[in-house]
Amino acid sequence: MTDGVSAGHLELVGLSRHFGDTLAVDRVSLTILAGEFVTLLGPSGSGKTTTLMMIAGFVRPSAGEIHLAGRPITRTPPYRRNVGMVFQNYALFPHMTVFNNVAFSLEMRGIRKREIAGRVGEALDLVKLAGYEGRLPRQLSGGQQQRVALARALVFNPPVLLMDEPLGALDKKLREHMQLELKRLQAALGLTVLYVTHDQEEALVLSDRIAVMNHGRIEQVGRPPELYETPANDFVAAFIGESNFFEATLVDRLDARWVAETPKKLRFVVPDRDGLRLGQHVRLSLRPEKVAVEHGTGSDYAGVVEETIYIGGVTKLMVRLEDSDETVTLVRLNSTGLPAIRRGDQVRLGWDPADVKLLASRSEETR
Amino acid sequence: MTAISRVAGSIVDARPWIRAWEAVAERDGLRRLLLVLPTLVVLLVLFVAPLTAILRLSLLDPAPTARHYLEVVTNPTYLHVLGITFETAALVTLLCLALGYPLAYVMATVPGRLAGVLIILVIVPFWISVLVRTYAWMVMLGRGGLVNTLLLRLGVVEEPLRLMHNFVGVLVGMTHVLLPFAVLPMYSVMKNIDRDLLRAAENLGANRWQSFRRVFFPLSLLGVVSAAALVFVSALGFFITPALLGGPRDVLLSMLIERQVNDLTNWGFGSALAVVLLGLTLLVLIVFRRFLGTAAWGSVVEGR
Repeated sequence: MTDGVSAGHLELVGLSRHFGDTLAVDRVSLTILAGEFVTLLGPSGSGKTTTLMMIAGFVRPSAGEIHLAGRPITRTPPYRRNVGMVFQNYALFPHMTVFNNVAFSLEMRGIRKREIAGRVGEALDLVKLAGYEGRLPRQLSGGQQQRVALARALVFNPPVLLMDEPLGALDKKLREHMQLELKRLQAALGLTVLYVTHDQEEALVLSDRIAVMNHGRIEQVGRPPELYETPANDFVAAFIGESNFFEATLVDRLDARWVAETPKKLRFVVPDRDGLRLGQHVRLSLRPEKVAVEHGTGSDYAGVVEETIYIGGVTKLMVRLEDSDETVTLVRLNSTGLPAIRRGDQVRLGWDPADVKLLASRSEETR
Repeated sequence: MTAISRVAGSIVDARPWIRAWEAVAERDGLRRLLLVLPTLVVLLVLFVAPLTAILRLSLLDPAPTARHYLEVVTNPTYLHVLGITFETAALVTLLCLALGYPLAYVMATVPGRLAGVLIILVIVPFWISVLVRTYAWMVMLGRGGLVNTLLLRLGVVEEPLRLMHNFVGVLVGMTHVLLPFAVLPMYSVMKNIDRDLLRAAENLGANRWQSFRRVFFPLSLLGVVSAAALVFVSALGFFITPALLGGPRDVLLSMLIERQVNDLTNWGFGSALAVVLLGLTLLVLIVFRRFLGTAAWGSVVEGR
């Protein structure tokens, strides 16, 4: 501990990185508390891996500072940073046994052979790979290699664990299994983890907090429900989960609410918020699962089912509204006893006005 | 990778050929056999037939006899030449590896464009005849050659050094000619070492030297062994360069064979020497192959 800041406390301050003319990472500031699981989520090329590489010390920041446990490490060489890392394709040393892979960091630290054997054994127990010490990486399955990589990154008790899409190479079933196991380990050991992924579902499952990145910048940081329920802008709303987006203009005011209208004359009631004025252009988001549906006609939101997509537990419906010609996507649980809705059916839609979210339109946002 | 480095890679990387061969062996053999047939015929006519002829000559000239082989094994002169041949090949191999490893390392680690330039510099000599290159060395190393002139002018030496028509000349010339054969296989293997492995090593606490010694070097050994095999086997049968740059005492097996056939028209004995050289070369290859098998992924180095 230094200056009363605990060992796992990681702080990024205005971190930027240019590659030639392109700005790969643009003034990223983020604080990760000790024991927290934070995920950098974004599409490829959003700068999340570059950010991780700067923390590990493989990429030199063009500007900004990195503090670990209150100590600046921006100019510390990688081998003295004492930061654990799990690489995308594990990067296990192919010429070394599992034991030697895991023991490597301890040998580099000059720890005695007997102690090394004990600690490697503990680390392999932790990832349930005891007994595999003598195998070479190529003799292991993908999931097992993943566990070795984790044991290798944990064995020297690093204050922070960096993970670069570590589950990307595994199939879906194994990935979900490893997610739960990772979560269990993190909680049991009180690990501080900074995780990188482009998979929004994985981010939601694992993280205490998520930082959504796009074009090198952090768009929004928050707990998973915050990001999903109140996305700051249309990028976040589109990247985490699915949504219906509408461009609309505020055309009327009723008490503490606004009426917004799309160019095709579909009307929404929107809760009031500071800074809204009549005639303002807004962007609206409505999550598909917030839309209720039933057979029938004669409402403002009546329409015809254009498409049904069966996805196991739910069915996705696309409904074209009669009055406005807008299309609304919704999902419906396939519960027993509910009447089936088929393509061509006449239906009525409904939703709680509170579920219609106003987004900061990024074109209007000041950068 | 640049186009040239890709070409260089495919020249020395035997894996595609092995894979192609496995495909031939696996799937509908006959149609593929037809594709191989022209090459097979050429090999039979130009390679297998002459070899058989040489083998026959060594045993049947002038009458069925084993005396040519007995002569090779019992005459100390010929054993001595055999010794010199192996010694020269071994020294040239060591020199090529010592000079080639750092060069290959730089080629595999510098950024793209510079690597391309270096590869061209390594490959260009391939396109120049060995004879021309050897004569160039004679101009360089002679009594009044470039090297001696320079040394005399600078006052480093007072009399010209003997740099050729001796063992030094042989080593310099052969090392120069064979260096690309050492550099390219090592470069190809080094280029394929995953950079994340070196990052992982550094992340785990290894400094530059430690990550080189514990990770990069063991993984590059595969290339070192292929390079050594290629250079050593080529050096065993070298003729032009040692003949022109060597002295009267630097007689290699290939030169002995040439003398037997051209000067003494002793076809039987010349053939026997050729068969011995071929046999020893194959033996060396087998030894290297075994080594190559165990050195794959350096399990020899890091095994516990």
